[in-house]
Amino acid sequence: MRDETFSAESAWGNTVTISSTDSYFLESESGKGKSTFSAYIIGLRNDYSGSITLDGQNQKEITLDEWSELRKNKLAFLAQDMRLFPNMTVLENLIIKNKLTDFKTETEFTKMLQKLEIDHKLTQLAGTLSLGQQQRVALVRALLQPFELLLMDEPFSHIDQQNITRALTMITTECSQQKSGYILTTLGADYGIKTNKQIKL
Amino acid sequence: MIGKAIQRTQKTIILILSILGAVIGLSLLLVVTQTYTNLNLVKQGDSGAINSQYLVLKKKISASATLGFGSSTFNKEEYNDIKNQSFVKDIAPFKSGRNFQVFVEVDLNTRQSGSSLGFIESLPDHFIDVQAENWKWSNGDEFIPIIMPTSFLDMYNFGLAETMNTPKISKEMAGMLIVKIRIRGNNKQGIYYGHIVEFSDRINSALVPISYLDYLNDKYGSGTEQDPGKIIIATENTKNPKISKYIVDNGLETNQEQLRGSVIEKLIQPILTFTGILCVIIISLTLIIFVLYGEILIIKSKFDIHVLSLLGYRWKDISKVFNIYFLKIYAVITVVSLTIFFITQSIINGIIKESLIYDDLPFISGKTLVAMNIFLILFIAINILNTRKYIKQIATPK
Repeated sequence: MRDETFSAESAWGNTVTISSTDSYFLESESGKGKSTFSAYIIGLRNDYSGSITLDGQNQKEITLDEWSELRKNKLAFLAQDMRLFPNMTVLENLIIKNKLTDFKTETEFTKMLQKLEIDHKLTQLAGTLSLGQQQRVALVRALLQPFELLLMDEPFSHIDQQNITRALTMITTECSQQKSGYILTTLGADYGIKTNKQIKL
Repeated sequence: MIGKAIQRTQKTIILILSILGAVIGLSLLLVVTQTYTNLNLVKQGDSGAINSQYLVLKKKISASATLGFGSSTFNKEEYNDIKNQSFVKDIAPFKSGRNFQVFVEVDLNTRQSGSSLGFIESLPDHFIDVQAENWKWSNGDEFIPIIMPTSFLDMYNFGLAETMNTPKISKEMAGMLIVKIRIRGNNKQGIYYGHIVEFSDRINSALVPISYLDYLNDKYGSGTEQDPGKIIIATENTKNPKISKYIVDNGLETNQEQLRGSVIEKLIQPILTFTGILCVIIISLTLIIFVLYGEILIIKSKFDIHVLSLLGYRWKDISKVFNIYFLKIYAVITVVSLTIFFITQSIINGIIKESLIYDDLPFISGKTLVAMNIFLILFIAINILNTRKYIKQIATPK
């Protein structure tokens, strides 16, 4: 990315402040670093120059145990490639996340799956689901924790508009309940949502 | 729950081969260590009543000595010369009976008994490694404690018993026999009874307490006290080359070659040492295989470990799941190895008992347990450290 050129408004090379009470829309072309941006915030990578701080703490100085705590209680993440356990069922994939904080009951997350029309796949192995089905399961999984910021990297690339609408309703409801914000990255589509702020790359 | 994601990625055949290697290595280690320990016990305990750092010296019987030229006993000068050697810490002559006959009779079972013309000797008490209360005699005592040469037991077990098709006698059983001693000399005879309290392969005559021999010499003996035909010396190291040089230069001999300890040292222990080296090689290879197996397991589970870490699981908790899995494997290895060890050891102990007439062999010694623990700690520690290292690497931001 060092060799890429970015516009003057790009977050790369500028200072960007993200507040956990706001919602952000991060739209950019392919290859401009949307997933990289997410990876830096969630702590998967730290190969950058410059500075990233989370709650005032330098991202590069956060220990592994501190990252675990952040990912458990403050930062929820929905990866572009979903990252479900393919050899576990949908139910097991959700339980393994929910077990960390017991944030929701089984009844609650089953209802969430119902809203996204995926509840009938509860006992199916995640690796056998379609990409769209995997994205919906991954979204529910991301919401099974307390968070101050929900980070979603191209979360609707394989979902139809109707389910997108339902998903967005679920997300905004959850964020409202937790008084949290989110960052949603996309290639271009805005899905008809109104976010407070925009980040450009 | 974490375990579910991991278990599905391991190949059973690799696991079985790894376990097999470890079982072979650990079983061999236990058997070699225990057998080595037991043979050392036999070697050291061989002397029975007489410590392995004592040597019995006697003159070589030459034709000229038989014809009356030269002497088969140690005169005062010869005795003092030995006493003054640098390798001699302590010295004493074997005291023998003064011209009386000794007949020894032993009841072997209800139908058999053995008797022979024998001779008895004694040594100062501090050369005798028998508990003080078992090695004393005063006039009027019912039984005389006796130390018999091991060759006596061997002769019976491998000669008489096999010829007569009678059961062999262990050292413990021999201790329960009553030895009838008939003394004839100085126009007197007497009958005494004794118990065998110990065996030694450093002697070829029966030993009795010096108080008993003095009593017999007073009552049945005649003539003057003779020069000793055998001398016992205490030395720090029986393998000191100065000793063998002195022995050769002065026409002496010891009965060291007949010692079971020599046979063990020259034949069996080198085989055991070689097996021990082989064992170390097998264990090293097994350790490498196990480390590789652990690494393969982690590499194959890399995606799962990464996702768990991303979900908020601590890398230490993920490591724990792997380590508990490995600990279960080591438990299986230990149980199987101990089973093989106990079966093998009972066979080996039986062979040692049969061929070296040594009963009191432990099944598992402290040294063997230490060896087993070192093996397990090494394996477990290396695997745990390796597991933590790789999982931490996967969880660390790139």
